[in-house]
Amino acid sequence: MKLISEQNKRSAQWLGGILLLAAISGCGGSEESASTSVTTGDPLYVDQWHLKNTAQFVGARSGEDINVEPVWAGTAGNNGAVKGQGVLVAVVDDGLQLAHEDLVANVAVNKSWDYADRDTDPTSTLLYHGTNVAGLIAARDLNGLGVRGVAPRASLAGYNLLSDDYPLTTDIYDALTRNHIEVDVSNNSWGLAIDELGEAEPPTDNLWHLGIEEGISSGRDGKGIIYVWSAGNGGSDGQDNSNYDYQTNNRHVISVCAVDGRGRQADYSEPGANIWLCAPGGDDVFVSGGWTRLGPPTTDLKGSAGGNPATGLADDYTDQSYTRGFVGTSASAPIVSGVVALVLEANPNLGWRDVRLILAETARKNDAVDSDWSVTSPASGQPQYNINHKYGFGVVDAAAAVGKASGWSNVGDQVIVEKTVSTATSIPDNSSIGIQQSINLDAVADGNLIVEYVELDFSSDHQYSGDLEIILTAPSGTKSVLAETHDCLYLDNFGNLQTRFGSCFYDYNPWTFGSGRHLGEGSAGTWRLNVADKGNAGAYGQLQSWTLRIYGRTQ
Amino acid sequence: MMLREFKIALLGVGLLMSGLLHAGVESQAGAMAESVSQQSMRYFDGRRWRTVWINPQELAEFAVDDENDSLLRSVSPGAKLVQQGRKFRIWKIDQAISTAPAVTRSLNSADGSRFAPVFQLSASGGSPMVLTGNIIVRFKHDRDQQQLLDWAQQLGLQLKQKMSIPATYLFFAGQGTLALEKAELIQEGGEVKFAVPEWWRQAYKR
Repeated sequence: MKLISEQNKRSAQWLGGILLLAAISGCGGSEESASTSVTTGDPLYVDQWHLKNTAQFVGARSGEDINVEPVWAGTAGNNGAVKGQGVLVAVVDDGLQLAHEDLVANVAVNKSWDYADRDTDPTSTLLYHGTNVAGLIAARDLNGLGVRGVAPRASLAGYNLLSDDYPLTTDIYDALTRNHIEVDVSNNSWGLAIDELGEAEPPTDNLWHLGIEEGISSGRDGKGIIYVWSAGNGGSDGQDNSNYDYQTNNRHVISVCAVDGRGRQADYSEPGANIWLCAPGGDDVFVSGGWTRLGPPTTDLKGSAGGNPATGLADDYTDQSYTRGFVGTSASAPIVSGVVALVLEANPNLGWRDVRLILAETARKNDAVDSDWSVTSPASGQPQYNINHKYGFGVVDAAAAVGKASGWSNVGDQVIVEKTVSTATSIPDNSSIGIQQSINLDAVADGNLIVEYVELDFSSDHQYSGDLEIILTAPSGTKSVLAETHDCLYLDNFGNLQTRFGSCFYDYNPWTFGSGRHLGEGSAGTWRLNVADKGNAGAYGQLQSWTLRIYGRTQ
Repeated sequence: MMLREFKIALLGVGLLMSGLLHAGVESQAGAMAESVSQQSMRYFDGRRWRTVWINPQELAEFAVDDENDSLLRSVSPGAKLVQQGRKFRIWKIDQAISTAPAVTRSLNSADGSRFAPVFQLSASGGSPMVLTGNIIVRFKHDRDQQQLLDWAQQLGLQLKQKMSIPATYLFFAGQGTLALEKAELIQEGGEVKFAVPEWWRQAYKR
């Protein structure tokens, strides 16, 4: 094992050169004729551990990948090779280098948007994040160049919403709905809440929500755009949680966590009851002599302008149009977006809820020794899911998802049940006992739904939201930890995180938590809410009201 | 206070303060220990009413390419640039706006479209937000062009564009806090589904 193979660096250049020459000379080296093997044709493919993990690097474990080769080879239960053909993925990010050698063939003509100049070219000469993201989704395969995307024949549109750190709220709406009839997947490796601080920062307005709702109801000819969202990188300090992020709490987005090369929670990846599933996002790894980075190899701005060398990874690729220094839930989300593109090519008729269900049902249980794993108690005829606050339903499995999609029958209409308790109750300060309230859903009067998602609107005037532990327990006994007792942090003048003892910027008044952990269970019965103030003494408050909202379908 | 009076006002902290009086300075009883702001305004976010807080130690300046910062330096010699965006830059000033009459006077007499207050969603801090001066209005029933223009003129607004949300339009209300004030007025009038100010809102790559 080696951290990065000099041989690979050389072979990348050599093989790339050979294939490129062959293609140019028309001597049988075209893309299509090179497609005799799923493992050749992209010189850096051997390094793409997230696609095929052979323990090729320190920090990588064989088999901890997304199992995509059978999909490309047409042996995943799908009819023929599936590579994302005909599926349009919008990359909502800081830019997309349309002319990048390994992306250009997949760029959809005139579908991108530049929010700075109001034209169709979001190429940036400095901002590389979006180009890193795009390569993971749909870098072209079998062209003798660089890397391969998960869906290497999917089409790409770049919306450079984040070309400025301060996008307009109206542009946020636009980025979520632009080309909404044609866009199938919207990848969002960004957020409106800062990671790491443990703060539940509210939205400024309803435009983000309206954009998502429009994309779900009208997008993709009414089948709904599949919104894939990075769950957040605030896990390192142990204080943040994706349930403190209003975007990833939304039931319309697929919230994606990150695992490292060994299939374990990446150091930065946030836990949360709203996590749907994980994908490889890379991490820093320790090798003899110090720390280095093992990110999923991807495209980078051409030349020396991008993440290679900006991230400072000493042994990154010598061809600076590629990098393996890109890590984060920004990297794991596009891998899921790529899998969704494969799923939608296999079955374009799937609705947005069907895609969620397929991903959940086919996710692979990773890190089996982790103590947070449990299983759901399924309603009659429903699958049982492995669930974990760190991993959601597990790591995305492309072959299993595409195989499942091929024969999938769309689920019926969504039904919503909602009940509210408004009994103001004081929460004992600095006590592990806490309070409990309950809501009973009657099987006849309310209907015993098959649960797809649960939302909980929580209102409390507690002075310090970080003190509160909030746990929802379903009639089945399945628990969702919605909030943990934690410190809120701030950045000092030197950029270091410090604890804000005794205060958070924001309270849960109100705050909507989301949970996917009750998927496939029956909704009828008693739902219990436990709230405990396990923080420091001196901050008080009441639970004022809460609303339980179950999204599901009739049995 | 008549809305048209605002039209002649330049942006500045004086206007900002008059806006505060108009909107009502909210009670600070619930403010947290590390509170830095004493000034808040109310607006409807499209779903619920929210309180937004003015960061007293920061100012947004729209002249991002202008290297001449003499105006700012004249009232806040030690101002430090804390963020540089494409449309504006944010300065940390020496003295809190609310306690710096010199800042108020100078900015009031200067080019009002050059500076804007920086807002946050908590008294204690939070991500910076800056008003664009626009309001997004969704009517209960759509209106024809003439009706829109008449309605806008009555409120001292300028119709900018139709949005892709049904019966929804973007209007220019004015610099400073005018967008907040007028949005509140329109929302309270009850003839719209929502009237929300347009913001520049900080976003983060992950």
